[in-house]
Amino acid sequence: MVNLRPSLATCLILGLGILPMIGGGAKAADEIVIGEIHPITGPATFYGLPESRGVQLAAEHINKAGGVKVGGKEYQIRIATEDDQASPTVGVAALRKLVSADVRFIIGPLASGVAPALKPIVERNDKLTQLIDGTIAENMTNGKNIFRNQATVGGYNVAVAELFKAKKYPSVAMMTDRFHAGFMNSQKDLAGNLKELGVSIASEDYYKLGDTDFSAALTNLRGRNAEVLLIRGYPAEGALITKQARQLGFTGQVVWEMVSPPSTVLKNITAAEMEGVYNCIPPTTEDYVKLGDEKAIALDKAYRAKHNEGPGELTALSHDAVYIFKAAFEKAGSLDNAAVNKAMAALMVSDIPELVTRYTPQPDGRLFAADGQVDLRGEVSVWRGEAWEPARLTD
Amino acid sequence: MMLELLPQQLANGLALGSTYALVALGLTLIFGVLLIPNFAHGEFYMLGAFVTYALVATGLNFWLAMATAVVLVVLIGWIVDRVVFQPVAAAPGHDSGGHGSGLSLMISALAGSIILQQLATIIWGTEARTIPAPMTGMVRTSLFTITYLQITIIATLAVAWTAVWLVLHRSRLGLAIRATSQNRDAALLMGISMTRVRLATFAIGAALGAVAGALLGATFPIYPSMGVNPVLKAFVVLVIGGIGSLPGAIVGGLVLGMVEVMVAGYGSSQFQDIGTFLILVAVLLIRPQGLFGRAQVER
Amino acid sequence: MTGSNSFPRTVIAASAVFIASCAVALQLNDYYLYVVTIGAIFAVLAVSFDVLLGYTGYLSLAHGALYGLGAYSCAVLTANHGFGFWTALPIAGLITGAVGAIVALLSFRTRGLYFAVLTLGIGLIGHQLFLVFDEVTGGVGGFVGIPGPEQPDWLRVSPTAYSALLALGLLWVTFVAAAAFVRSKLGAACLAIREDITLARALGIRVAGARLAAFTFSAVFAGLAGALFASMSNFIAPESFTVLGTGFQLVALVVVGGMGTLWGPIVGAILLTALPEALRVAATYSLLAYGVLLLVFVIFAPKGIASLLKAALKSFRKAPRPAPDATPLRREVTS
Repeated sequence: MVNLRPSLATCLILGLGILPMIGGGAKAADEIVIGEIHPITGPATFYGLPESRGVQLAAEHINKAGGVKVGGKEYQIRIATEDDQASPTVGVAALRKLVSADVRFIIGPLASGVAPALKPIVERNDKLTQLIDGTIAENMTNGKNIFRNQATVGGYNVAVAELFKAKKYPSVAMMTDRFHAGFMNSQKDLAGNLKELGVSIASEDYYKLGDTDFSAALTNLRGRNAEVLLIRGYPAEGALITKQARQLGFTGQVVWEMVSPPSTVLKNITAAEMEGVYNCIPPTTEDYVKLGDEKAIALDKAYRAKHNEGPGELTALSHDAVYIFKAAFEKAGSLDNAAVNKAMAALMVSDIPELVTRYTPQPDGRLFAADGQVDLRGEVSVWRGEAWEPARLTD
Repeated sequence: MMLELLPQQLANGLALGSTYALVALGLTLIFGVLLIPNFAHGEFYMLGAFVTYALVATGLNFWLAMATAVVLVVLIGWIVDRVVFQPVAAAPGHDSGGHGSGLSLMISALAGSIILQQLATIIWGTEARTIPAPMTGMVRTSLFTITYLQITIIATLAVAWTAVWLVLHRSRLGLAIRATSQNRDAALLMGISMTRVRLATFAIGAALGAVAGALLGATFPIYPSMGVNPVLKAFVVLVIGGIGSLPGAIVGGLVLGMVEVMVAGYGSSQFQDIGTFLILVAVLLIRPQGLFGRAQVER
Repeated sequence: MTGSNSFPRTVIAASAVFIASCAVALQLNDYYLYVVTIGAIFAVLAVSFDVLLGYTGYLSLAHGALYGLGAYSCAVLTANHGFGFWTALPIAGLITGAVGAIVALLSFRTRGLYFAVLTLGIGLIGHQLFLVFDEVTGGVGGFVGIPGPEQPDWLRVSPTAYSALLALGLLWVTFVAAAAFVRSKLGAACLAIREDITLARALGIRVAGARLAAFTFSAVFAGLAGALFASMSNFIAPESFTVLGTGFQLVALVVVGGMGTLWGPIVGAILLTALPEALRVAATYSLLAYGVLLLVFVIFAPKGIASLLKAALKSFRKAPRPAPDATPLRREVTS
């Protein structure tokens, strides 16, 4: 009998003994704590870390420039970083940890798998304001206390439609990453939009992240006379599909719909094989730098100075998210969540001159639509030489 | 429906199946001889790819890089055996064989696999990359197209199988290995050195994994967890072909490749994975010992 | 030793620990409560899984998918068909149990590694089905809008605390049910199968029935755990029910905790849920630590924490006692 009792007690002690080791830090009087939830470790680190660093950089910059002025008082921003490993359960634990440490403003997450897991918790809690800087899946915001400064996949699709309209492609074969919630959920809408433009859908195939052989589906392209191969997912598979399609004799136009910095692309495919491929996404940090945007160049410089490597493609979004919060705090004149939410919804694009990302203002000049979503549109770029450049569609 | 594409789909299936068989070959050898379900075989594969990548990046010729990677991964294989498997086999309560030791070996293999993956993550990060291909170009016929690299992989599979067969059937060491795989206790009684058999088996197994990694890493993106899916597939191949059977690994791999391509080509690409595992379940239900397995599989 | 504990005393002890842990849980903040809840749900999975792995000797990798089946069943029943949580919970358990029984009938045609690989295949198919049948499951985007468990008006605690209490309650039920199962005739038959299936058959033990019962038992509780997880999370996605994640993690929990005991898996679940949270700051190394820990246990303590604790307890008992006034303690210890 005793075997059981002491041991169960031991488990309890063991468990509870470990728990107090996990604690939130105390916060100083004149600081605003913003929690950021991104995948710092795990398979999505590659996107998450540059976002986390973007948040840090923006906060440091704001603090150096005098902090945030709310109701005549100056506050410093402190960033509380939590890792979600791009996993829903780890992400929920991260959010709850932040909430328990009385953090009331959240930036993130990146992963489409984490955002819907956090949503019910944030919606129920009127002492939370969330600004999503990552996932592009639809229906993640509510315009009340959840906002997003990243595009939706619908924003990406705008560029796809624009490309098809300009080039009058007759037919398309689509290959979509079926592990990507955003692309999967918008598959039907996109196919519908293209059909309205008179494009015939030759095939809709699916693959998953980490797949290596696409030959069966690509072989079928030959029988279906598709003019365009549209690939929606991540660059490693995008490169592989592009290569395999060419090997199997596909001679039509390849179009990507994915965040794909040239450095990553070139690790997986030669520049010659990429020549002439189109991509339909909103401009990335790197694109703004190339466009000669001064704010982007400054961010790029600061990032390189601190981390000894270039920023990630989403760094600008995360950086902007901190400035959006700052503007909302100052507009609200209070750190009360209800006031901040209201101010956030009322922000004008012109209120935040520090934004790197170029948002399309709502008809009344606001940054966010009623549902809490920014208007950030994809643009068509084309691969020339070693990198993407803006495509001229009119000629 | 699209029968004119059948030759190409068959070529696709052959190429894909060869990659499965190449990974399964090393796994089945170690399992057949030492009864170790080596989940870390996927990491031998991954390390073979990464070491080759790192060396090619310094400007080394691909084939030299691959050879070096093979040597390094064999060394790693020995370390893994020494640190991960031997202590488990030696631990009290494990020598009874049967269920207990198989389970412990499986878990230690899993642990070894996690550790190697995390070390690779710390060294190389998670970003996917591809080894610059040692050769480009392809054979185009009116019926099908196949790249030189795919031909190389198929040829490597044939060479690897022949080499392993020669070692096993034409050398004293091979005799010892085969004796061990048939009856370990009797082999020990006959004075066969277990240490030598272990070293040789792990060396061959790890080398096969590294070769597969280097070759496939020139075709597919490489990243620290790249070995996970191939090793799961390889286990499926093993079970289909019969555990411990080398011809089983080859035939099982080719069957799996063909089935996947046919499901994706003539069914739906969404069902490709389900097709794989349905085949597995069907084979196990109809012929639980696998296509080439010996009858007494219950250990 | 397991046999020497009388069932009523086990129930009393388990209840005492249950009440104590509920009392402690109510003092915790939201974050710790969530960790406790997840830990308890995994403990439910681990305890019922050990009935199959530790007591019967079969390693199933299909349980990640069975856990998912319970979760999706509860989600569909409550969100799409208007069932209440308390109706959906047992139905989810029954559905999972029934599917589990079918899986068991197929899988028990094989043994040893073949059984593991066959269930691995079934687990992988299950996970794929959650993705492919997106009309029902929401596909990769997940199932959103699952109603939380209805909370009685008289219980005035936060929803998070309520979830933790439910999870602890389910753990208590699982523990008591498992204790009853392993003490029953079926449980004895399972032990015989684990030790020597040929001998068990020769002795006229009905092997097929006993191991089917063990598998179904573990499936039912995996389903219940899944249902509770779905309801308290309000959202589920296929990635929570993978073979590599959940399926293997269950094995790790049970091995680290101690196979063939019912409380060992609970220790394992607590440890392996709390550890990654405690190591959040050093998350890069947390998976590495996880792998090393697993290896260390398999090599140095193959019977898990349970055996270490037992050994420690034994040496504590054997320690020389100076005076006869230690007797009352001793009586309790030896009874």
